[in-house]
Amino acid sequence: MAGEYIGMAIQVSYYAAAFLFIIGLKRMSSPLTAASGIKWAGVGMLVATAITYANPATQDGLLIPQCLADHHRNFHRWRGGLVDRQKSGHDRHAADDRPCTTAWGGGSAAAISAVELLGSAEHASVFMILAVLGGFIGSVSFSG
Amino acid sequence: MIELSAFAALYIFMLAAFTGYEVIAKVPAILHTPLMSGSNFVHGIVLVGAMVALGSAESVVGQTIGFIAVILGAGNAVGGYVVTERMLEMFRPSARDKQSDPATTEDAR
Repeated sequence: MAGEYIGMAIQVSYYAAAFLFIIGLKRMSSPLTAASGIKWAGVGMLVATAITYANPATQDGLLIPQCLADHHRNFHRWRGGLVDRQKSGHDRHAADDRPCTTAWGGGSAAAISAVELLGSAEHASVFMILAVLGGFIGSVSFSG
Repeated sequence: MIELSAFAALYIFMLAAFTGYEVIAKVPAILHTPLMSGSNFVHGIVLVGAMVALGSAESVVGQTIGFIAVILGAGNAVGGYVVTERMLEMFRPSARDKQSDPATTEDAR
């Protein structure tokens, strides 16, 4: 019974997120409301991400927290090295680099397809074709 | 979990396309770039799929690729939001503009 309630809560949250995305984009179509529009969409993104993170079905034990902790540790190690290089004057322009994240979503989609294709024995052929197509489109988007 | 038939999915696709068209049909040209950036931010919802894929991956290779997908999806969502908000800062009328020229904000309407 609890699982049904959790499943329903997840579906309702995704629905609310989609609604907030549409409202946000609609508000972004006017100069007066554009600034608040992105905030509405941001709330939708937070809702969808938080409910997915809280969903026990998406967490294989503590996989995601472990991965994030590892990444956090590696990032600080990398950042420490970068700061040392900047202090020593070897890499002065590194601080001016700005992230270009627009294509990352395509890369993420391609990686999702790859994960699904790795477990391909369970899926139907239509699903496989869609996964290959998704991976191809995501790769093109990422390379662009 | 409610199962959807192929035709129900087709109806949803059609309504979503119609909604998207209606939302962006009357956007002034000056807002095209922020709206494109905002749409890129909304595409960051792929993060949810990446989290589900990572959670369901069983092999080490699958978990590694799933982790990369989560990182890329999160970067897309956060980067898209920050860039869009910075673009939209230009459309936020300051207090000085309001005092000096109230017609400017009227024109923007």
